[in-house]
Amino acid sequence: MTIDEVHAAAVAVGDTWELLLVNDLRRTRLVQYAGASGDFNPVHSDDVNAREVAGLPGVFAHGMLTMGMTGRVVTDVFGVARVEHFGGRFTAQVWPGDTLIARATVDAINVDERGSAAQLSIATVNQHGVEVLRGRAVVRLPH
Amino acid sequence: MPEFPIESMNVRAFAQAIGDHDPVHVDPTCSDAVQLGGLAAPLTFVLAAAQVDPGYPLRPRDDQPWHGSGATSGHLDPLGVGLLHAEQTFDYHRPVLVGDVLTADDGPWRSWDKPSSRGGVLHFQERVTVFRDPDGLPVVTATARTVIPEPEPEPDPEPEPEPEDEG
Repeated sequence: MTIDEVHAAAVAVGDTWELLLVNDLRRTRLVQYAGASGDFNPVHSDDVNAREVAGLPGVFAHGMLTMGMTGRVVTDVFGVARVEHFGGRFTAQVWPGDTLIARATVDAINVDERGSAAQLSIATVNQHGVEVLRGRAVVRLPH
Repeated sequence: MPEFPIESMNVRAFAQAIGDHDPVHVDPTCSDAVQLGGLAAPLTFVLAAAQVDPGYPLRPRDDQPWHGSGATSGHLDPLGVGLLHAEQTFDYHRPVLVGDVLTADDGPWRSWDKPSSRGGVLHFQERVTVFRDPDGLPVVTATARTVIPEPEPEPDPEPEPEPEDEG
């Protein structure tokens, strides 16, 4: 389903949806994230240093830029205030030019004394279908 | 770490950088912000506490050498060549709101090694940081895991063949 068809109050186990996070990631975006986060590691913002000193093909994205963008596949549906847990593992590097899509799947809905909470698994993939982030989230569902 | 004030322009810049256009980050009159009693920070925002950490090593400082390029290509990161952020999780005790003043309570680094599937060893480190409000109540618990991969040592070169005795 598209993310617009997902309704926080009506999610069910097995529901899955996608969100395009970024199309053709630009280097400027990495600089923008560096300034906003305070992480000025040259491997993310200094192409000369990344190539000539670190021996990389060039700058690559902060893992936390990918994770920050990925959070939207959860918060665009449920809102930031309903999220109880969010996180994941960085499974491949993200490079300028990449296009990223995040996918969320409802694995379980648990009922407790405070109501119900959905367990989501999350995967962000690049334009080659390579997974760059694998994570999970727990969201408190509206009554 | 000193106090980490959650400020609206910082939240706005962060939301813009991650492409998060939810009005709850920027418009105090939107219904979600009204309901929460303020603008909310994005899920991963608390790591921007690096901005107020006086010893944060990945910010250029006038009184310290910086390893990025300038007249030369610069140097390797003196802190950890090949250090990668491997995993990050957040547990939310309540939303982070503009106007909050948090403190970051860093736990100790815990470290362990694991054999790599590609040969060699992976050196992992993990640290739990609890962001608290002025009453000491936890707001977000952030767990960071880093890894430094150490490749398998090169096998010893083949011993030189003994020279043939020409005698």
